[in-house]
Amino acid sequence: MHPPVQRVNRPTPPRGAAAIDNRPGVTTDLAWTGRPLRSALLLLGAASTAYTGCVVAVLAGLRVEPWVPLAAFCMIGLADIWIGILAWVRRPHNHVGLLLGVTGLLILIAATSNIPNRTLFAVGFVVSQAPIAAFLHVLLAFPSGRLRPMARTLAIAGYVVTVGIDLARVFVLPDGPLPASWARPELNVALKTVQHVLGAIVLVIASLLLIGRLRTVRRRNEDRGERIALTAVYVWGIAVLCFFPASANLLAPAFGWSAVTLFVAQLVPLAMMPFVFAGGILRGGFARSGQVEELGAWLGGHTPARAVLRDVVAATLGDPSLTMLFVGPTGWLHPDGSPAPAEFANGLDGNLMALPSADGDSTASQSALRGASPGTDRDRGLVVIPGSRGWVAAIDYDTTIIANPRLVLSAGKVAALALERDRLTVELLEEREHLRASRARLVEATEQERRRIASELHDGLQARLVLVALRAGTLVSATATNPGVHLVAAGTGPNGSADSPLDLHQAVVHLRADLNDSIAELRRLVQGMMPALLMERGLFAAAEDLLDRVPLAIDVRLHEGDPTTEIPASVASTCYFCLSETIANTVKHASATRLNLSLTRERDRLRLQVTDNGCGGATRRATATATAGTGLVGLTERVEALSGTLSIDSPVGGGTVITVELPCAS
Amino acid sequence: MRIVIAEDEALLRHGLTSLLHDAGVDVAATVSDARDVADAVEQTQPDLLLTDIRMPPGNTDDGLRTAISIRQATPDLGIMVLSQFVQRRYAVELIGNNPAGVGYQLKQRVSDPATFLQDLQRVADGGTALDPDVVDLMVRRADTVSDSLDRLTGRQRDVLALIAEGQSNAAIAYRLCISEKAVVMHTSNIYRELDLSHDDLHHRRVLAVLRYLNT
Repeated sequence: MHPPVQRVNRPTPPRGAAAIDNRPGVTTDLAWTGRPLRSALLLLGAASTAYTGCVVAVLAGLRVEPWVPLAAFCMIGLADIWIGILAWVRRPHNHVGLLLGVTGLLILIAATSNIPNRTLFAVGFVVSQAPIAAFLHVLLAFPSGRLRPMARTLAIAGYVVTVGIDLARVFVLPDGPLPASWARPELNVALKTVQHVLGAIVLVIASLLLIGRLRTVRRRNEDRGERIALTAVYVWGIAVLCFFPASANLLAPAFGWSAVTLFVAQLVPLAMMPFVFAGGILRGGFARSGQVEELGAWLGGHTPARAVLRDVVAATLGDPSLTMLFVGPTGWLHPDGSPAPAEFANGLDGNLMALPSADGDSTASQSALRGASPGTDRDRGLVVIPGSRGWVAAIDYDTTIIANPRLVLSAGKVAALALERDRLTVELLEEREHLRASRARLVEATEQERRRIASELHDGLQARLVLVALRAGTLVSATATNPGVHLVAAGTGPNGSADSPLDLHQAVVHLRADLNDSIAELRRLVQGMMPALLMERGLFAAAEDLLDRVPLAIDVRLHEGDPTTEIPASVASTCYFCLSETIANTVKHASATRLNLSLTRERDRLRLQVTDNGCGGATRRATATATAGTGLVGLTERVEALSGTLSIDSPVGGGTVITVELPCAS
Repeated sequence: MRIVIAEDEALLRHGLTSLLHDAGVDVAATVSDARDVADAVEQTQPDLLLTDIRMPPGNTDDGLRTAISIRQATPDLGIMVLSQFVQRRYAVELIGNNPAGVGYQLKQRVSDPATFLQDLQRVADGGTALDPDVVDLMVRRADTVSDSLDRLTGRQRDVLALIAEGQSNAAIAYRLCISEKAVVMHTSNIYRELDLSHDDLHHRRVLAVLRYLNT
């Protein structure tokens, strides 16, 4: 058994200098597929061989006449089984091997019926014609081993006519295995006639179907090898189909053949059958496309590194000198990740680098196929492989080994699928990481916001209230020690001097003023957290109100769309805070004199754009001063959490444009 | 003076009731839901409706909307709107075309009962009582929209703001510690600078100023 791939990280030689690589291990068959299958099939083959040996030994021992042709018949069955196994191992995804094996088994059972034994005779009689039906089956299923609907009906009809009618006949045979009282000679003859007529009909239809296929072979298969192989197999198959009834009904009477001679004559095409079919699959023009199919099946279960992918494609196409280049984010790369020589990219003209056109990849394939190697080497071909988003890879190959660039393209496309799957996986992982980070930042932002509110409450409001309590407390003690005095009391004035006598009334007025200040502070805090107008009247009213308070000339364009459909609260407040933050930034840092603002809603999209003529450089300003969760960074997180986008265009000295887009379907 | 109080916070409702009661005001009814206001007003026929803005059932601006519709139905009824926050647009909506018998104040103004009661009385009598904060918002907005207010002196701006609040000449004079004559002089200067048509009728004077500020 071959190890799957010999060397993994072999640097690819530069283009043009590619020599034939005679590494051992890279063979033209896909040795890496179907290992467990192989053992099972070997066991099956061994069992079949032993069985054939027994049958031949019994036939020879009992001198069953004619035992020599019968032994040959057995050998043909065994050959079918072994060649079927070989085809199966080489092309695990092609059913022709399996069908050949089944045919061989049927032949062996049919041969067994010649051993004088009633039961064996009955079984053998029933399947005696089945090999012909199996032959028809393989022929109709060639080259994939799978049947199309019409061919399926015909194959089933073949089995019914041979096995089905013989099954009925075995009960009424004159000297059959069953009691003589069951014998109905006239019914037996009638059934035989029906079998002949139906058999002829099936054969004629099958021949017509195959002739029809022959006509489309030319049109569908552009590969010359495949065309020749298909034509040969079909022509041979039609000839054999005609030969079976013709030999029995025309040739034998005409040339006075004995039954043994007829049997021997019919053995000849049967003996050819496994070689023709398996040869067609493994050695004919299908060899390469069969390999490409296997490559696709293999890649379905593997995610190879790029170097491995090159080796696999090289093995598939049977060209060890093949080199592959891949499109990376920075340009064309060797499989090991090193950049391709610049001449390579330059060698591809502009059209080749362009994306495949919208009408599918046919145009792209054409332009990909057009490329004969731009290098000086006449024996090198180049095919560029299109993916869903542009070129994916390029394959440089030896045109003396592979004549048909379409085959290279097919293999490349199969490989490209694996590459694209890789790329999607990487993108998915990146996206997930981005999401995780974003979520972490959102949590961080919430935390920061909570801290900010706590500290504002603590430093601002609580400090004020403590002061108020202190003043009230002073008043309490002043009035307690001197309860009779109402109008004049020793109190603490704003200057903090306890000794200066103050009007009690004046002290209480101060107290009230302090409380009012505290209430105003609280109002300011609450308003900053969640503006009342935003809750009561929605985004557009709140935006207008906000703009009323901005000390800048503002050119405003508000378009609310349909005000009856509500904007989700989270979207509205995010948009509002984008607006307030942006305006606050502009007022604080941008030294702008004009502000252009547009807030529009169209169907399910909310768009906010704020443009100022200030000093620009907003991104840096934001990242330099803002911690996570505040400023533009935090807002971007919030916007992205709602599947929106926030973009900042702020060249230094060139003003700032901030655009926010949010989906707002409610 | 008969008053109906619409306020959903029980503490504040009781506080207002006792404050007004102590001041000799007849509290005819108290309600805590915007949907009950119209009925209470119809049944008790008060001189004044004192209402909060954010109230059930919607807990958004239900109180304001109720006040506006009642004002349209019974223009003679004085309406004083109290709120935790003041918004310029609410003031504009509430006043409409007629600043007579309407007030809009921050809740915390209750902390000065004497002034608060005066404001209530003024509104019940068909005057205007806008919160200084609202007027401040209006003046600031007018400043950004056009530069015509730049033509006024600082003192003239003070007078303009007090007119917009709905204060009488006497009150303005008292607040600014100037003579009533000086107030009249300032007023006519303001009118000349801003091209407002002169009108001695108090509420028309307020309306002219408010219109000017909110164009």
